[in-house]
Amino acid sequence: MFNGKRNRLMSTGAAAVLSLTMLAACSGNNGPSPSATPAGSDKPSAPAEAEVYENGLSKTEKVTLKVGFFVGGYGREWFDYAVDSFTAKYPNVKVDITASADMKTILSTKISAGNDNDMFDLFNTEPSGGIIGLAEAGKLEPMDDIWDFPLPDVPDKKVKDLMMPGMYESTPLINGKRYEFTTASSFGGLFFNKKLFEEHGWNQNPNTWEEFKALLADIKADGIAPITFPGIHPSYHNWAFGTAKNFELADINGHVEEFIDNYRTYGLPQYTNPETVETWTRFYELGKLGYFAEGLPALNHTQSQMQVIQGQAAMVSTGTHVENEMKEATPADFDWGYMAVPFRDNTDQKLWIRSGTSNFNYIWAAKPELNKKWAKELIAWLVTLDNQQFAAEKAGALPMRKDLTDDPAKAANLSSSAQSVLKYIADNDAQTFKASRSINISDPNLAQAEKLMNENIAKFAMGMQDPKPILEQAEELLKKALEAEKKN
Amino acid sequence: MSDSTAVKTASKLGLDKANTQKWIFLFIAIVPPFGGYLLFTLFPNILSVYYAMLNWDGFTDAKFVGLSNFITAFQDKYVWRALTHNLIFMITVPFFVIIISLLLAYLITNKTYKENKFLKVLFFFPNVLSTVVVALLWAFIYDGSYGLLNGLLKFIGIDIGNFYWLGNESTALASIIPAWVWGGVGLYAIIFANAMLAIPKSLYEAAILEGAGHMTRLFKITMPLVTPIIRVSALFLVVGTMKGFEIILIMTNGGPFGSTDVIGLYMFNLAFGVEYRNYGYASAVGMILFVILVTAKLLIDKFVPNKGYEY
Repeated sequence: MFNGKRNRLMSTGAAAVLSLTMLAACSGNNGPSPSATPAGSDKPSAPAEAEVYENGLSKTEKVTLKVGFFVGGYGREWFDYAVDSFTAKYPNVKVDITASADMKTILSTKISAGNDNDMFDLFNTEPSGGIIGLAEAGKLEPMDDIWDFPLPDVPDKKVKDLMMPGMYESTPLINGKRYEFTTASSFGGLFFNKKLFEEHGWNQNPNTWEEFKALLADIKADGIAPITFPGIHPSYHNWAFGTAKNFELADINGHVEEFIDNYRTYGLPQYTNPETVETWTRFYELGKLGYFAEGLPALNHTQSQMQVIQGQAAMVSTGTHVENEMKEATPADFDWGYMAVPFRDNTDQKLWIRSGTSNFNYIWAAKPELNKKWAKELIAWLVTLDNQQFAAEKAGALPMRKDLTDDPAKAANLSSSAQSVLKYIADNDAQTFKASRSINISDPNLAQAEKLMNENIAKFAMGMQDPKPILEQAEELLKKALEAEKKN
Repeated sequence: MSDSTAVKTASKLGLDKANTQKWIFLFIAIVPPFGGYLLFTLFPNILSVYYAMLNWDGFTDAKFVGLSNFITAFQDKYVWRALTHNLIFMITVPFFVIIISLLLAYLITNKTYKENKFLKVLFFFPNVLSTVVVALLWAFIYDGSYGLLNGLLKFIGIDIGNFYWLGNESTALASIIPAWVWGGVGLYAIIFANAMLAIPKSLYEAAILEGAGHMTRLFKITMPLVTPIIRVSALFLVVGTMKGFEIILIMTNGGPFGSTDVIGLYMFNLAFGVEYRNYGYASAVGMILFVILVTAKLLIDKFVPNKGYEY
């Protein structure tokens, strides 16, 4: 164990060694202004009724919220829009945004530096390495209470009441608490050019694994690569073929709850359980049949998505952010279609879809109480109907509000990919779920297990490597990692 | 006070003043950079020896694990594979950069092309580009569908179809070398050209009078006199190639199937990985890299001649 000063010294040094000397992009200097106006921030106060908002927070205490904003596929326009209306409604609150596509590294460096005053009050992506260790160390603020906040635009309803089904349940639990709150839903699967499918008469909604394989055969027979994904970042395969498929098979086998629990806690067998082996084996079989794009190991995510836009590949494994991310390169009349990969044998079985949490938010625990309260208010503000609609229409973000998706008039304005996904989920009565871990393992053997798997994904996709021996090696490494963690 | 004493005192005062000024100058000139070096380079590097003995994710309490990280690193096949790739880059990249740079420098200095000034700018151009731009440029050259290389081969009658140079285990590593060399040649060509221009013309004139041919002048005058510059350049290139990974991160991210992974990239991913993070283990890998770099420096000192000629 190390005391705070020593830990901070170590943290600063480590960040300097690993960031400065390796030229990691680290920045994020927000200027000298403190995170909040310190005076009165933590004081219990009972201001006169006229001096407080309907949320009970003071109108006169000035607060600056420092926000670390990850600029991903959805861009930042939607966030700026929400912040403008938030600060107009609450003029004593200023929002200081540091936006970057490399926010994960910025967060890691700030966290390792150990200076709470320099840290963001609120940030919308995980730092490198995930949040489990942070949550366990008490560095993050629990967010369970936001779900019971009154909605700012529908005060007689709680946030939880109007959220998309399954979102509350999908929020990862760490030691029984929720440390993140997502303001846009996101789904993974295969995205395609609807017009190309219509021209060739391909099945846009295969219901079973056999129908799906027949579709891939049809596409290949027409001289187009059925599926692509970026081999340079092979984890993109997970959007369509990943953990959700293991859950689907476990559901078919009747033990999905036990399986999910095992997944969360790195229970053994993790890589060699029957469902995981089956998922990878099916993936490999598709590879052997030549259903993945030629040159896939050399593609980055933009190139793989371009293959679909240019008609070189029929479908790309990615998330709902694809439409906004590729909007500059997509013809105006391009219509995005969506399907999940059905592993089921018949429609009585449940189809599982990877649910993401885009724009998920975290609050730094060691901030003044007033800042944390306002940070939660800002998060709740992001799920007002107006903000949700703006994010859905302008950025292609899938809304969290079910009163938006249930209203045909409002849903008609959503992006084509968002509409396709929502229709697909409704038509197939699909189960959406976000896979997450609830424990943290830092032993290097786990890094080796993950590296082993990552490096072989493209080989499986090219039909060059049987996954079973690789899964066995990964399992052995995980066992070593778990044993080492127990010793520590 | 006599005149001579007064002169002596004035002179002494003048000297004292000059001395003081000299020390102030030295203080101002040395302390900030030396302080920066101590604070931002030496101190964290020494600390990282200690970090290498911790199991620490940077967030939570660190656990002292002694030499365990080093033992794991020596047993880690990814470390050895990455070092093998580093070794290949460390030999090929500096070799080609130096040879090509010397050739270009020699042509610039010995041939009186009227475009010489323009050529210098042209050679230096890749150094103005960021590594990201260089990497993306070459990634497009190697692209299977639209790449310049396949197009060029097709133009000269070699049709290899949509071959993805960076997507194939047997060609990816070799394909990175030209990109890395291209990005480095310009700077060293200019350095060598300036070193060659500094050689007095009289040496060549004397040699010509004595009947020395072109090759004799090159190997008996030019090369020996630029050897110290080549030596320093070799050192920079070897160390830079061993540490560098940015171009690989962008072009292949270590793939396909780990065939271009290098130690810097592996270490970076251990420290700043999306799903995994262990500063302690990353520091242990960094220490191994440090030892290799020091060894490389010593080898260069021993085997590359450090013989300067005066003229």
